[in-house]
Amino acid sequence: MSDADRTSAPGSWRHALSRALGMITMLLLLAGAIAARMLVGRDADGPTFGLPDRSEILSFRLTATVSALVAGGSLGASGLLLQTLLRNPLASPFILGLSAGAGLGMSVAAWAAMSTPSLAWLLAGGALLPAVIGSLAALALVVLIGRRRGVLDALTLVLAGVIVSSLAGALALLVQQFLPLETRGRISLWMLGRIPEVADAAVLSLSTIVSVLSIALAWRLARAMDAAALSDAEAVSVGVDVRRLRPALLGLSALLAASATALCGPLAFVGLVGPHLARMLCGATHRALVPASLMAGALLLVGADALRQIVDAGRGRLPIGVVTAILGSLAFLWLLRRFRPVWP
Amino acid sequence: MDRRRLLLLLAALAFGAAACEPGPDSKAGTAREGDAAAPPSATASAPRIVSLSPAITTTLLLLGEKRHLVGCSPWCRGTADSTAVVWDGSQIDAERLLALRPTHIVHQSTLGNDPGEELAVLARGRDWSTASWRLDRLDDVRTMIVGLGELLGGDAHERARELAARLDAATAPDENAAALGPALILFSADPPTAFGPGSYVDDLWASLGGTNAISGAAYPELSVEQVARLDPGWIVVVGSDRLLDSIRDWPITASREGRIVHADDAGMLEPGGGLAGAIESLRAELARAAGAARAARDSEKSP
Repeated sequence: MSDADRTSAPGSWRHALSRALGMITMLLLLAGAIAARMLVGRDADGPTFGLPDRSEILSFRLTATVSALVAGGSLGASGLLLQTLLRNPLASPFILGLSAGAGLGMSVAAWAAMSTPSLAWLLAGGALLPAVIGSLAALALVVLIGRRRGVLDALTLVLAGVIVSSLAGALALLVQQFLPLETRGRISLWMLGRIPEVADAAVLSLSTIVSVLSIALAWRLARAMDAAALSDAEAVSVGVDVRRLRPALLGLSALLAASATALCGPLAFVGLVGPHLARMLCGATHRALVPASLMAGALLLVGADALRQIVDAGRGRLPIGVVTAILGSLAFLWLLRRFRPVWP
Repeated sequence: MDRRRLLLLLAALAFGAAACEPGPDSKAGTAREGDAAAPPSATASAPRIVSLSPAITTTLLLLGEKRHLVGCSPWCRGTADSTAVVWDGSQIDAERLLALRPTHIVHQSTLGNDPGEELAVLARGRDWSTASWRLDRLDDVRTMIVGLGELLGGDAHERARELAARLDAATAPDENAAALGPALILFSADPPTAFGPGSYVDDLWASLGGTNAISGAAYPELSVEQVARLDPGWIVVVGSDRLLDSIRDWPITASREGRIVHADDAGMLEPGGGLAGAIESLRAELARAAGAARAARDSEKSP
């Protein structure tokens, strides 16, 4: 091994320095996004800048910031686990049908509430319960289809995700045919997500706890993920039990995505772009990637929420899903062109 | 990270999350009592109305409340330029809503994505009158008009009564509608989508004495083949002129013989107060169509 190889290899001082600089950059960017969200608001005429003079408005901004931090961080971490698990840089929580499952859950709940008014409670809290159940049911189906000879197969899982996504989407449309016209439109809008400014304290606390625990567990699995990102044979050769690691990563990823969906509804792109942004800044070592992906996801969502407070084309504030999709696709394009992909 | 640190972190995050919920003490009403910028009482002075439903907004404009309308949805039509948009269809812009200092907030309740729940939390402890209505059927529209008048009081109450009476008069039986026979009522041509039983347009069509050519769902999507098999005697088109262009090419008797009634008043596409005027226009169109049909029959009889 040459001196140059030795200094740029994982574990070298140059690698450690670059990782530390990447983490500091990410932290500074996240701090900037949080500050921007806390300092930007809206009044009747348009955006306002500076801290509000009323405590309740400060509470709105704080709730929105905490919600976006938790949901964005969860989606970023969930995307990283899936990209490692599936060895697919395009993997994200929604490629496994979580978004389509949430939409199906919401549609079925609306239909059930219309058919049996006593079931109207299903739609409480922005139809949180059916959305989470729908997401997890879609994932369970993906896992069921994605098993080959009792083992989770990376390629089959991706294909199963595409199939379940399409099926859940089609079933949601089928159920919506039985709903009043107005409700159909509202469900489509619900799919664009939300950043709650007045959150249910129980939901916010539960989502936070689930996310923190899942990310802590994922961090403990970081070294195994480093090996699993290569190939099954290489992972086994360094003592990683891939058969046990895959269900663990899938379960944690599902918990993180469900927790984000419970809080903010289905949000696309954050789980896809977050891990790539983290890799660009902090390298491919999972000890750094887990917290970096968390911060990158949070940065994207908090930043998008801050941006939508300012942008107003006379039609009110944009739905968060529109902003994350535009920002996410632009960021993805920029990352692809600016940096050489770090993916092995 | 050791277990104690992890537990401490979790406790801190849970505490922070719980602190984000605005408690009863953070309400605007009591906090700003006596403040010069405090919202006026809902009954004491001019109302400041926020409507999150296009149909209710149209009704408010007909009740002469345009100058009192301070907030609306992006889909509301005819509002003043100064009326702020406070709803993106997915969530309420809470900070802007508060800045508007509303006294009345009205919205349409739906089965999915209903803003009522979020509003209820925001309205807690504030001097806001909130009301919502289902607007699926014609009776719902009538109930909303009367309810809106009662909520706002004063002149609006009287105007709402007049508007409800105008709606009743407009939906009185019309011999021209009855004379048409079964009609297909379309609001989209590609794909053909109809107002079926259970929709407010079917209700008003029935009250005019008309018969709907389809049964089943309230807003069914049809194929052109289905329309051809139905071969309705008449087609009522609700919407823009562009719909007519598509329908004229269909291989059905109504299209070939020009038996199409065009209800182009935008009020027909909203289950609100605008329906009264839209039905009045429809009646005029029905009279014209029935006259043309009579003339055609007479010309066939004459040698």
